[in-house]
Amino acid sequence: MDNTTYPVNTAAALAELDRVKRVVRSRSRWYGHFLLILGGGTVGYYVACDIAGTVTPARVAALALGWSTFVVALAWWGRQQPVTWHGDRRLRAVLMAVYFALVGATLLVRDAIGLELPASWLLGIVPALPCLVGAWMVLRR
Amino acid sequence: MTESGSHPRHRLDELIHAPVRFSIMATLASAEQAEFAFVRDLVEVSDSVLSKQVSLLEAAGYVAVRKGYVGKRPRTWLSLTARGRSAFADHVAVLHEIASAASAPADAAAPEPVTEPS
Repeated sequence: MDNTTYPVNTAAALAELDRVKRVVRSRSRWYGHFLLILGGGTVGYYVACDIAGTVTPARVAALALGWSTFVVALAWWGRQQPVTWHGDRRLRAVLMAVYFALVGATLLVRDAIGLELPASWLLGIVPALPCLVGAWMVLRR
Repeated sequence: MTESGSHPRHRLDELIHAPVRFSIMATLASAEQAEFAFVRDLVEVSDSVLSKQVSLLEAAGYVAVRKGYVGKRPRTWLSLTARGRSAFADHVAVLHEIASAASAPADAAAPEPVTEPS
């Protein structure tokens, strides 16, 4: 190795490190948008359930179909993304576990006691919260 | 490493130090995983060059290559192994060490501020 080139190479290498890090950070922000859409869609689902009013098998099936399509389409979009930020795997696992647990819990609560309550769609904010917190964490970095 | 000595450069990983491989490793160090085409565009090399360099890094145990499909489209995903991540962190630490050593003599050689006698 040519010792005399080291200071220059070192500076160039560290500058390159910063450059690619910036690009990877920017291109992996899609996950923040993913979480925002998921949170917003979740509230939308609860609002739709509220508007649908009295539960009939046809309405339940239609809402379930719409909800499943939304989640699958979002997951599909996520899989299309070219890069994920280092460390997001753990965040994803935690957020999804919390999110689906809260969706299950709020649906149970709504079905058990809250169906006739006015503005029961507000329950949708509960599972949307971790999504919003996650989105804030991803988009602020 | 082929040399031994006290200068930090002797601790640089020559496999990583090559510019294209350094850029590949730097990209993957920031990423959980990255698609082949994304790395190619970011590093600004051709498919064949990236493929060759990735093969070298894969053979060294630094990079993992995963092939799959998104729908009907084949995709290749690249990621750093634990060994690769550790080797790159060590390499970057040495670069910082060299950079700080290179700037230290300049600072030391800077003239003392002249103060007027009171």
